[in-house]
Amino acid sequence: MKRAVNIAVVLLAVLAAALAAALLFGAEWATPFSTDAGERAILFDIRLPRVLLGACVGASLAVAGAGLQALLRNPLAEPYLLGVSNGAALGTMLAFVVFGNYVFARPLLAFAGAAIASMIVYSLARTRAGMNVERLVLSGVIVTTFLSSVIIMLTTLLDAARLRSFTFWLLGDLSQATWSGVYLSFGAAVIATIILTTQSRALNLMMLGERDAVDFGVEVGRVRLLVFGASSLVVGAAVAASGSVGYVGLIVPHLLRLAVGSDNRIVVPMSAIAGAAFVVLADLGARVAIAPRELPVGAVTALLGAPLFIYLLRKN
Amino acid sequence: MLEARDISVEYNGNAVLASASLKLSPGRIAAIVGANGAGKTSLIKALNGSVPVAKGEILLDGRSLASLSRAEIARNIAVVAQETESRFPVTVREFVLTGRFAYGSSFGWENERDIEAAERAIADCELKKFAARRMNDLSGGERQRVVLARALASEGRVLLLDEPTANLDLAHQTLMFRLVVERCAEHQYAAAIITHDLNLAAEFADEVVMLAKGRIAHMGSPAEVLTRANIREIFNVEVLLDTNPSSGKARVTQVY
Repeated sequence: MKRAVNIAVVLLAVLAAALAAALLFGAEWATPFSTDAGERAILFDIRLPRVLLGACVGASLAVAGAGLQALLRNPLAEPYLLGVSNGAALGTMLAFVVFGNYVFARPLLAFAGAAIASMIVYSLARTRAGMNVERLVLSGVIVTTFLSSVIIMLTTLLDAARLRSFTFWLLGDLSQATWSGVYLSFGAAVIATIILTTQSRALNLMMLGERDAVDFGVEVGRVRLLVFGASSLVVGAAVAASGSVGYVGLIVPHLLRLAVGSDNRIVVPMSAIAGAAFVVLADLGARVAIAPRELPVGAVTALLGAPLFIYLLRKN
Repeated sequence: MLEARDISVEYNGNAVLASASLKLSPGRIAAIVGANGAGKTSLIKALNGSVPVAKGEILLDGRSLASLSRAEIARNIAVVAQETESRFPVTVREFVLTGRFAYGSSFGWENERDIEAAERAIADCELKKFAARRMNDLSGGERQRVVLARALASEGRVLLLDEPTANLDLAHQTLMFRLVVERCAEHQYAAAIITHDLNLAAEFADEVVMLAKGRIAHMGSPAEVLTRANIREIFNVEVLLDTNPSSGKARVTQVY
């Protein structure tokens, strides 16, 4: 417990530094003490919601990744790679096409899409003998590509101007951040982090094997439902706000495990803090790398994540 | 202590275990033997309720297993399953501590009592020098001992062991059985052990349960059950039977 607090203090300091840097730096230098109206508008109306949304999305995806990895006994499990993010993306698009601008339709359908995609991947990957890593990854690929093609078909319904912003959004993009997106994403991240953390001791057993977990007292069905539910909730909220930012759920828990070991009581809640800092910094990179133009943040995280994925796959 | 009454287990409608009744009593060890696919592991799984029984019921201290929570069962019944491999870097100490899950909530840290039980189990299984090592860095036999240590740490008074000696060298096979015998003799634990080693069964078990094709074919003391006729019937091999000069127990020698 004491160790968890120490790690939390360090990571919160990193997150605070990341948030400060992301607010100050960008295509324009801006400080909160400026009296210039334009600078203040950049800082508070554009940059602040974007940075905070990045933090919420990062926390969401990382904590979902940590929970799914332990549940599925697979360090390669990640919302984006499992197709969960694409399920949420399809839900968001359907909401956009069918329900237009009705505010709550998008996160709701995103959540439903994420939950359905999770269930499909899980049932495809599961055999009587249990789960195996390759089968899970393959199932994720199949679901991801299938959903991608449906999404592409839906984009043909959009006009050219929207198509560009949708393409960016699909890759994971924080530039459309709104305050309502921040609130929703923050709420979802907090709820899911709490749910997943309360299951983390059970996840320590699940991570070793489903039979072990049953034998030593875990109500496996309940844990599975809570983890899938919580991860679908955060991924749905994150994707509805910022599209499919990939690999965050892979990179962050992996680095944390290297640093602090595998105890999910530490890895799960700390993934939320570290994930927030990670996406904030990745988005800062996306804003300044080719300023004044911008990259979608998902491109930056994928550039970092794909090599790690290959490394982990080879190591296994 | 743990009693199975006429239980059947089915997978997809196929009975893998039918009409099995047996009793595990305090202080006694039952060895479960039989050919591959005879239903030994299904029996063990049914005994702690990790697979549902299609018929019959299982009683733990007179209460139906079906009415107990997983945690309640885990506090009473400890399992040493066939080894599983994890892809996550878990230390031996962390692994053994997971055996204490049923005493806490799904979140929260182990208390001193939990840590004490885990450290004692680690010492008993001669794993002290491995405690900080990662499971993935251990040999199969060392991991198997860690799995036993976790079961002992859980302090369940019924021990169910699924081929616990499969990966062990001779010295550690003896250690494994000695630990189980000790727990049964001194703390009145009850144990059921699946083994393919008929000599270990003869040496340490109070009772031998012989399974064939999902049914209990023979059950009784080692001397009653481990006969040439029974072994020929179940395993389809010829054996010589005599007495182990050091212990006076039955000794089985296969004729090739």
